[in-house]
Amino acid sequence: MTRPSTEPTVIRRKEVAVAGISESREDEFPSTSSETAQQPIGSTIVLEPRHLRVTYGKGSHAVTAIADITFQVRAGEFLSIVGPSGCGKTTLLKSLSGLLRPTSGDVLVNGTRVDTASQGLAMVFQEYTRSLLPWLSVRANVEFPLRGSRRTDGRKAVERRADEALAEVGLHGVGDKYPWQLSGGMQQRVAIARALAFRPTVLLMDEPFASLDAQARSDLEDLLLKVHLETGMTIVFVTHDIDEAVYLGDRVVVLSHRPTEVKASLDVDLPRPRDQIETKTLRRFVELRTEALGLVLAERSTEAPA
Amino acid sequence: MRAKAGHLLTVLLLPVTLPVLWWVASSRSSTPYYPPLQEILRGFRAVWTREQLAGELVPSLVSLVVGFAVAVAVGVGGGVALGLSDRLRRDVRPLTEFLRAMPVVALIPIALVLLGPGMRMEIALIAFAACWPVLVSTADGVRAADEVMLDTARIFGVPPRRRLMHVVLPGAMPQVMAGARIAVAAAVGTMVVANMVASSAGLGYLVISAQQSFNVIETWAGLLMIGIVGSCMTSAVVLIERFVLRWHRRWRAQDVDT
Ligand SMILES: Nc1ncnc2c1ncn2[C@@H]1O[C@H](COP(=O)(O)OP(=O)(O)OP(=O)(O)O)[C@@H](O)[C@H]1O
Ligand SMILES: [Mg+2]
Repeated sequence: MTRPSTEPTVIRRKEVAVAGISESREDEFPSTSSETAQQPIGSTIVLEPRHLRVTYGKGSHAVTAIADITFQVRAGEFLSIVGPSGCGKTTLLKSLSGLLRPTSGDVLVNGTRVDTASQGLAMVFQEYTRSLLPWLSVRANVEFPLRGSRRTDGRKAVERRADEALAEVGLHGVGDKYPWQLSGGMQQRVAIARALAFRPTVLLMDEPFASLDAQARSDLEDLLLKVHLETGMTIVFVTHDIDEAVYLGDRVVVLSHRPTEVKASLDVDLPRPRDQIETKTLRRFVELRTEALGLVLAERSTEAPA
Repeated sequence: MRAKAGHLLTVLLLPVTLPVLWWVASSRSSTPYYPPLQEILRGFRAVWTREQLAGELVPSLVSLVVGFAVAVAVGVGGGVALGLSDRLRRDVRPLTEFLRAMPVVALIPIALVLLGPGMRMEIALIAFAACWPVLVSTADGVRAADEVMLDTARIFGVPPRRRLMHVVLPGAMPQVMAGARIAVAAAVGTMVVANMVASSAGLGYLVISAQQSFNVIETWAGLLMIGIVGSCMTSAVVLIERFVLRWHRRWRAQDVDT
């Protein structure tokens, strides 16, 4: 469980004042003034799967989930990943996070090969009820990854980080509740807060809003955009919802069906900050959406029979 | 409120009505083997003098509590090991199945040979009998640890020890406690039997020697005390369970709701 020397967590905090958050940390990009500015994407590559291949099982039962995936995620980028269901999106995220050892190829985080989990990445799962610990309060859940680990810098600091993260996701004052006393949307906010407090190099999200109702879902999409804008965090967001992928992302990577490869990478040149109604009625949004949809549908129809 | 009162009524129904029935049915009994409850209670107070409590009850309680504690420690420790390692579980399964199937009564002679009569032997037997339910259900609980929770902890770099203590074990706690509750019955039963056949003190010894000297009242009084000890022990475990799993009941309750 040793963390390699790639400690510097590449979080670019733009100094946008957030209610209840004391902005007092050393930032790589100090104050890029305006609130409406396009999120600056750095040139540093923070995450890079190279010729990733994952085969489950052996011999005649072998299933090649991922054939060959290579792409690059730059600091501060919001990367959406879409693909037909069962194409290996979860498998990809697990490999990126180090949970799953790829059959061949490798994953670089800040230029260093990943060989275990705990490379300073964080993951938000779709199954929030199974990801939050039901015997811990909301606050204790957020603090959990910070306690008893190398990243910890004292009880006070841990508490402050948890407070900030909870405030950031709009969960002021629910810290003492148990997660299961909250609605699904709020539980997923807790999971996001936990990831934020951890200050990961990259935040990985596996269909995080797929089991929420439409209202909670669009609320959380906008929350995530706000967090991205304010923290400049690098986010890799897997979804099967193409609208969502385009609405959120700086770029959409479209995966093929199994055995999976990168089929296309679309730059989303839509202005930020985005808005559920304004952005989605832009002609460019519709074009991008249609293009991505076409790519995914084509994959579905050419899918080899199972 | 009304539902609560109704619940209270059903809970109290048996413990209240049965003694009342016993009291009424036995009140005019004249056979010496089946004395009126009134006399048994009077006898109970006479039998359980301070010296008797110290001489017979306390040794039994000590064996019981120590034996049970050892059982829980061994059961949880072994259960965690078996739950974590599929290989270990497969390899030791024949042995555990064999030992588990062994009636603890059958072990008394050999325990007497190895440990001699007395508290050490009693504790060993109680621990042996009571550890299996804890061991088996702990292993199940550990094995059922939620993969998503564990993956989450792994990604955040939570070290293995901390994952065990803070993710796996709390998650297995409902099963551990269920095993412990079953283990209480096994422990009390073993204590009484060990007392009866191989001790010169303790609750079981008191009952059997009273019976052998045709002291029916004292036999009943001893029996009553065994019942009291058993239910106190069960209540204690239930109280601990309520405390340890205070999150769990409400969590389950809201699961049922939705
Ligand atoms: N542990 C495993 N053992 C064997 N096969 C697996 C395993 N996990 C996944 N697979 C297979 O690998 C393929 C990709 O699975 P994965 O869950 O990564 O897809 P996905 O794109 O996340 O699917 P979904 O859209 O349902 O979320 C599937 O065909 C699946 O059956
Ligand atoms: Mg998936």
